[in-house]
Amino acid sequence: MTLQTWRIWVRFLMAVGLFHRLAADPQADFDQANRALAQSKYSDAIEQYHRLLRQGTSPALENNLGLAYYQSGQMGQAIAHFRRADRLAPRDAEIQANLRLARGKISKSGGIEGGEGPTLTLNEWAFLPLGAVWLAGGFWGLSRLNPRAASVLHGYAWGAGLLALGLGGFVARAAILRYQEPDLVVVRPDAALRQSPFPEAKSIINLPEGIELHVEDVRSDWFLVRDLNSNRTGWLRQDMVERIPVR
Amino acid sequence: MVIPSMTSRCLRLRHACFLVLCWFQMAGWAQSFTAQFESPDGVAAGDSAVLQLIFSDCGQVSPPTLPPIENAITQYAGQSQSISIINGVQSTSIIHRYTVTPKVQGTVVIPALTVTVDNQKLTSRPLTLKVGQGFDSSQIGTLSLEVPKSELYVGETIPVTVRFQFRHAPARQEPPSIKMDGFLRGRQSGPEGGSETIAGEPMSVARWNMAITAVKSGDLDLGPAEFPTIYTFQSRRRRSGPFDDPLFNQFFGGGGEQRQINFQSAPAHLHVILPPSKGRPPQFAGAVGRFRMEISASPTNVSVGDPITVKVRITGRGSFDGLSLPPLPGDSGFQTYPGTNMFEASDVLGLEGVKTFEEVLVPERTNLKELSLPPLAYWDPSSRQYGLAEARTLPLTVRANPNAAIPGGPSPAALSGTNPPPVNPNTDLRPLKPDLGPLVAWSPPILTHAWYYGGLALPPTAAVLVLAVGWWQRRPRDRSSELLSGRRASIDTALAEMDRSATDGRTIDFYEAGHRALQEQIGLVLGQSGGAFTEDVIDSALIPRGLDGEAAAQLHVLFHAASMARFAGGVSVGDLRRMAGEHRRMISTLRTLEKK
Repeated sequence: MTLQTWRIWVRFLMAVGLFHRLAADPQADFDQANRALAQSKYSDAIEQYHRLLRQGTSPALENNLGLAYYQSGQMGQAIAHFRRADRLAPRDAEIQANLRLARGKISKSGGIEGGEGPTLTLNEWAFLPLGAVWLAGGFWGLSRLNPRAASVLHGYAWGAGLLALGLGGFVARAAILRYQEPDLVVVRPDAALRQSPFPEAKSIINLPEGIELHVEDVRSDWFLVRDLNSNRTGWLRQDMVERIPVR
Repeated sequence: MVIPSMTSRCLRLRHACFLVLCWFQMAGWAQSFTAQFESPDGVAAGDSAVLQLIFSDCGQVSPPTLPPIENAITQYAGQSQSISIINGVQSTSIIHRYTVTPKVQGTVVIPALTVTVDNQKLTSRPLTLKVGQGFDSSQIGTLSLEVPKSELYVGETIPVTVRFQFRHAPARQEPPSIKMDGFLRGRQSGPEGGSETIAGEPMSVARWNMAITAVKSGDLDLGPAEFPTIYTFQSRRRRSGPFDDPLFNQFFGGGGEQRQINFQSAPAHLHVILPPSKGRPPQFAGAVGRFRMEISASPTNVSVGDPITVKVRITGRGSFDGLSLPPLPGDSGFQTYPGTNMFEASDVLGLEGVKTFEEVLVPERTNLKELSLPPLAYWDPSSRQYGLAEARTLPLTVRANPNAAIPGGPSPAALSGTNPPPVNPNTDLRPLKPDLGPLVAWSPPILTHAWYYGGLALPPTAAVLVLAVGWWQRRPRDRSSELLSGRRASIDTALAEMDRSATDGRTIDFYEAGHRALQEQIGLVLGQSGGAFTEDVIDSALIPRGLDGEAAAQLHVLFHAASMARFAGGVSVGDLRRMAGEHRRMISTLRTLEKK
């Protein structure tokens, strides 16, 4: 194949890729999935939402997928997706209300009651001290350029620097709390907590669907988890749970 | 002569002992890594052998990860430490233990393992473990999978039974599992115990029932079913070896050796077909079974925009999991909102029961006289034909919204029914979010990225750099230049003192300051410390360095004036100022000599 032929092929493939990108309309697919959910075609809606998830995620997508799972009776998956939506949009009261309802459905079997309080995402927290540090640097730089206003600008720079330090402390606290939160949701009704990461290992307890757990360790396709209610630790197969990414 | 010879021998013997001790000491320090089985003679299939990885004089070594071993399951079993002293040399070994459980008869090969300790690669020899025949679990019990039919339809739910007939009950067991590809598992019940006589022998039987639903067509295998159990046998010490294992008389009342036995059934071969396309109603959405539908609504006398709660009860037998309500046609005149559903099973497997849908409909116009849902179409596998479950039509009265013209009343949008009904925050799900928003990828928080900390450190680092560069530019280049600048400063100070004295008319102070400045400057020219030069230095040192005759004469005058001033007083301020100018000019002239 000559170089010219290669170029033609590459351009053709790029054009096809661009066409597909232009042709894809996630909002139209989302509308279609919402329509299926409104018509109680839960499995269709879930499938279409999952197809969209391959392109990325958004609070609305995770919330509506949670609604689809909720209405089809799959509370574990519903809680997992409401929590993902909440991680993406932690100040959305509707998502929190949905999460509260879903948790309420399984709270009798040991789930966490209530929703999550309004807060910031870790990224939002992280940008606060970053902005304050740059603000302090900006004031200090201005004081070098304008010696007549140096004393005032130095005051601002110190103020912004102290603010950055304080916000850094808040960020550290938020990160510690976020990483201590349960980050797994049991999505199968027959999730057996085992003594070691093997299917043959002795089962300690059967966990109810929708219960939220904290990951202690990961080994191949097993999670070492801690049940915050009973404080029991054991191994759980990864296909029994959905993981909530830290955000 | 004898005594020196013996002394020499003793010395040689001592040296030899010392060398031997050194050799042992060196040998004691050498790091080694050995892999071995605790019982190298072999094990029976299903039994466990203990593999030891021994690290001698390697310090603390974390447990290595074993590669996947064919036909065996490995599991880390902990570590121990042993200290041995041989010929006064201490050796410390860390032993990591792993259980190796062969699955089948034959051999299990542990390949050569390589670990890195203190940047040194240590490799063990490969090991082979003989695996004898395990015991015949069918003598203890058998597992079977019972399926009521061999042909079923996609979407059809059937009960299956896992049956375990046994002579001896296990000490512990887990619920049986069924490998299923193309099927979904539903509810399950059991175990139900009982006893049967099979071939004249009384046997105990346990049954687990579960519902499965076919989700794809084709010739599919259901199973095999697996039933993990743990049995207690007579302790191995009482047996002759792992390869002659007559187990059946060795069940123990209490204590003994525990062994895991996984019973497995044969798979069931099922032919799964799609419901026929011939005669398929247009409303058919995959429901399989036999169903009836009832409807109720409240209130039925409403205004446009008011919500009507509609309850639909579907009763019957079949697959309820994927059962959904047929959607209202687009021109029905009702706006629909997502509702809830609930299933109440009337049998343990959920094959029969009632599924209740609760939805909210909002009438959009006034000419709606009735509410009728489309029929639910289903495929009945028992009669092999399609059926329709139809609900009765409900009479409805829809009035115009009386609040439409009232200021502050519902908006036209509410009248047209596009606003959702009021939400009960404690019991109702929030409505669907209509806007997807930008799609983003899940990525780790920026706190976990190095660039974030770089961004945090950049402003303070830049400030420190700017300050450091300024200091660097302002600082004296070296010690000599520091001294030089100090001496220049003292000259400047002396000249300033001289000027002040001239202004004040203090003649003695004036000449002392001026002379001090001249002395210091001459010192700089000659590279010596100032303050001790006499007038002779002009001819002996400065003229050879290039001081011209006129300047030399002027310098003589200044030296002379300074000497005389200590004895004569009363010089006028004007003369002092003139002399100050002379001093300054001379200092400048002498500075030109510095460069030379």
